[in-house]
Amino acid sequence: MDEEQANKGLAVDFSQIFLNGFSNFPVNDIEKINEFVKHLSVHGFENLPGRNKPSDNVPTDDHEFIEKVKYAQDNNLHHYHIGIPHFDQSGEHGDWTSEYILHYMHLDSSIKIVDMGSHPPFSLPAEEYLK
Amino acid sequence: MAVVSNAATLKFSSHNKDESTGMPFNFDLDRMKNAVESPSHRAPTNLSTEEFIEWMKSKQTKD
Repeated sequence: MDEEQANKGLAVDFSQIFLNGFSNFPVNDIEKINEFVKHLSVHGFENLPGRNKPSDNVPTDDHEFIEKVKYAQDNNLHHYHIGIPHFDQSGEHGDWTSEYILHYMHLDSSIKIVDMGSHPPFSLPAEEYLK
Repeated sequence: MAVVSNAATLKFSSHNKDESTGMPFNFDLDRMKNAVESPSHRAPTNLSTEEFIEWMKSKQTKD
C-alpha cells in the first residue's frame, strides 16, 4: 500500500449495541458488512458500489422534519446501501441501492457503525444505538 | 445565546426549543459527550468472515 492509498483508509468502529445484536444476522449479511469494513480500511469511501449519503436528507413532508435533520446533523449520521439482500444495479456503480442500509456516524478519520435497518420507510437509529 | 448557555443542562427532547426563535432543536452537550466517550470497538481489517464473526462475538456483552 503506498502512502497516498494509506491516507484514504478509514478505521471502522462498532457500537456495543450493534455488536450485541449481530448474532441475529445471517452469515451472508455479516460477510457483506465485513467487505464494507475491508473496503473502507483500504480505499475509504472511494469506489464503493452502493449509495452512500448523509442521513439529513429527510423528506420535507415528514412531520418531524426539523428534529430529524438536526438529529442527523448533530450526530453526523450517514447511511450506506449495503447490498442486503441484494443490490439494485439499475443505477450507476456507486449509486446502487438496497433494501437494507447501514447507519453510521462519520467522524474525522473513522466511522462508527451503529445500526442496520430496512427501508422504506427511512428511520434514523435511536439514540441508545449511538452509544 | 440562550441555547448555548443552557445546552449542558438540557436533555434530548423533540420538545426543546430555542427561546429566541421558537425553533425546536436537539443539541445536547451531555449527549454528545456520552457519544464520544461511549465504548466502541475498532474492527480489525483483513479478516475472513469466520474471523470477523469470532471477533464480533468476543466483543459482545450480556447487556
